[in-house]
Amino acid sequence: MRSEALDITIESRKDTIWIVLSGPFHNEQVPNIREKIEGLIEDGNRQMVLDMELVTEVGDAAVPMLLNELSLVRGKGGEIRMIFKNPIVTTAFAAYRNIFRIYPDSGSLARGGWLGAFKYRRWQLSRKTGVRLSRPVALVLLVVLGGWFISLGFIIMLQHGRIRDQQRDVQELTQWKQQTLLELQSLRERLLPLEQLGIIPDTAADSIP
Amino acid sequence: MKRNAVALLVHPFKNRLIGRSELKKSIDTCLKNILELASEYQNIRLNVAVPGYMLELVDPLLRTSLRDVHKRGGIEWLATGFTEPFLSMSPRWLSRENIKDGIDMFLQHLGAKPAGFVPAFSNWEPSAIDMLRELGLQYAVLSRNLFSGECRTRCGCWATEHSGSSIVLFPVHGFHHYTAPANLEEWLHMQFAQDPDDTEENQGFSPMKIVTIHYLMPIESSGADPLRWLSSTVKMFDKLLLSYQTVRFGEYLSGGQVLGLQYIPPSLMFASDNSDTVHSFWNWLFTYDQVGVLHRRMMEVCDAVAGRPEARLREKLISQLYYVQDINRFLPGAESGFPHLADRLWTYRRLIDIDRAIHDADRVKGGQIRIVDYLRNGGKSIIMSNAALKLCIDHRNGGSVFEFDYKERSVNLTAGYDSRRHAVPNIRVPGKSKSAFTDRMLRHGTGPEDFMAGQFTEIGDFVGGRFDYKIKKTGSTAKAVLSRQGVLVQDGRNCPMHMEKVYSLENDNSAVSFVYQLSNHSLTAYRLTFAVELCFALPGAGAGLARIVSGKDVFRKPETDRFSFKERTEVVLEDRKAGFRITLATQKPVDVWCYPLIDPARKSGYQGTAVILSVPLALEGSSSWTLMGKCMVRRARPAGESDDAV
Repeated sequence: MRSEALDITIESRKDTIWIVLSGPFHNEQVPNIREKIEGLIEDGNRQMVLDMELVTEVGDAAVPMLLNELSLVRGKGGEIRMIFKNPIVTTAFAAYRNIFRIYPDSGSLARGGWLGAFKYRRWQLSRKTGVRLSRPVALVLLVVLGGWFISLGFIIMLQHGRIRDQQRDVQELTQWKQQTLLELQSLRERLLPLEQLGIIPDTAADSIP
Repeated sequence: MKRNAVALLVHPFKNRLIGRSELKKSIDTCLKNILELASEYQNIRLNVAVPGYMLELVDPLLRTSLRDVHKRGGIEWLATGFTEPFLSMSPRWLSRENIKDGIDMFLQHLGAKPAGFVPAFSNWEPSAIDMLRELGLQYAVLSRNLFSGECRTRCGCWATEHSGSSIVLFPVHGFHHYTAPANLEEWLHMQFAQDPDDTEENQGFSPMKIVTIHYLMPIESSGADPLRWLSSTVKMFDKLLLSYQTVRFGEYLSGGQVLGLQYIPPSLMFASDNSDTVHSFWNWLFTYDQVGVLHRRMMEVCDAVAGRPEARLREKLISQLYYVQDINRFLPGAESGFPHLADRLWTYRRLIDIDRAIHDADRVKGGQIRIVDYLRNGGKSIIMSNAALKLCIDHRNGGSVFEFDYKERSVNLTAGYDSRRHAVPNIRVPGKSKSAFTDRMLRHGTGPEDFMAGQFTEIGDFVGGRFDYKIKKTGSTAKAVLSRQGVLVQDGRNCPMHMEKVYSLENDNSAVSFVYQLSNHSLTAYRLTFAVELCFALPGAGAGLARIVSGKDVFRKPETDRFSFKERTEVVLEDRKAGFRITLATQKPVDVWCYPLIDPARKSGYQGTAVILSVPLALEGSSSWTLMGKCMVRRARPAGESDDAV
């Protein structure tokens, strides 16, 4: 009885075989599902979608079995994509979510990879944090945060420009100082013989208090 | 002298499937008669229950007059729903929608909300109280036979409660025009006299007593005029105004008191002459053939419709489901219900149409295989479908096809019916319930006469045996491979026999390919007659619109004639009423036996045609035998009008 609790629907949509599971996925059901997936692979199907949204329980052996099947189909150049967002299945697959390609619903799957993955991530974060934002609120928050970051960047950029200007001024003044000192030194060296002959008084010595 | 109250509930009902225009005419006539009575006898109060779909058809001028009579208090309306939902057999959400839409019909067409609810056949579900209260219904009207024996003689109404919700119940005496008492005055006197509270000392203190009469009035009647009794009754009440006061149920409730609390379990009052009701009516119902499959089909379709995300499509399909969940489709009536081939096929047609709409919306290409607990018997059924066909296979009971839908004509080809009741309330009884691809191992030499007379011996265990299954699915093909290691009796000894059969749907074609392989793994030679039984329902049989053809042989009376063909590779069953042609083609020549399935209890007793493909076999040791074939269904030009009835 337990081994027959899971309802299975297999159908073709475009070039993909959809397997829709519904009900409790007990360990007793694992050989049956394995046989069906392997049968489908043997029949030449490479692209499969496993919809587990209506699964109400997941046995310990179910996920390892699906990992094996995924590895088998990938070895033959195919892929098994999964659809679910119900908490029970999400928890069961949490450790392997980077291995499986998981989509929250058939719409995300149809729209494509990046957007679907983004949506799934968004949904996962929403589940984890418990924060759910409506679209208008999210948009306002995005604009406010975006504006804040842009203003911050602009201020940093202005400050950065001023600092560079000051550095350049300091550098120029330093160079001018060194050049002036060198010129002063050369003038002193030229006056030194005249001072030694007493033609002109030693002003440098007088200026020293 | 204190006057007693009498509530007269008039309930026009449709006793068989009839065409829309005919129905419109009948309902107009029926309501016009009621209106005339209410207008002529202004002191008489009537309670009238009408299904919502009938109100839609009523003449607008008549509706205006009915509104006026209601406004002056001559009539109180009661709802049955949009149709008459089978509360116990339908999902609660669908019943709720049905009743709600029924109430909306009253508001829309008669400008008044019905005050009470009349479940057809007193089909009561205590868990529905919440729903009825939520929909604003104040009371329900049930057969008095549903109440406990000691309370039946009390003249009043009762309260019932379930899970914290309560509602008032009026116990009614149900009458048809052929069961109604001829001398109503005497009958009423007797009813009031039976009430134990009707003693001299209580006369001044007990609440006003009420006797309620539920008069079921067929809108189409071939026999006595149902209006005659109603007219004479109304006339009688008009004369006896000093003794009896005709009341509306709501009017009585506002002044009267309930007698006490009653618990009414889920019930169904099928026959009005039953002194007691059977609460385990499900078991009773499932001893009939086909009704279980119909019910399962409806539940499956309901689940599919409920889960649809498209609001517009869902609304449309739900309104079609109202007609399917009508209680008259699921009870074995004299002129309606599942034992009637036309009625049964009509219900299947509605369900197939809904199923097709869902299939189209899902854009499934190249077929679908489902392995689901369809029959709710703890095991799985295999359901294979494509755009043209749908096959339901019971692999646990002989691997036969118990439902074979041809979607292009919305017909269940295997809707044949066996009038013999099941010993136990199983939805299907293998070998007895009519289906396709039932595999029989018969004693060698069994001929068509023996088989048709039921004088044959089954020497295998494949008819009801459990088959293992495998499914195969590619982009365009869906296959189910069934196999069984069974037993064949040869010379009194059990011998091993292996059978493998394959059903295949290719692309979206309306053809099922089948392959049988019988293997003898022993060293003993087997001798047997292998017969594959297929039962098809031909709605045109009896009207001269169905025929069976094989080569040059044409049989035009499949509803009565029995016949057989020797060594044929093709036999065609054609039905021009429904507009389809079934071609059974085999690779090897087989003998074909045909005979009609007759229900002797029905006026038109034809219930289907059994076609048996038989082969006498001598199977040597360690050998196997294969039969390949195809069952193709094509459209044929339909002749005559479709009896699209409601």
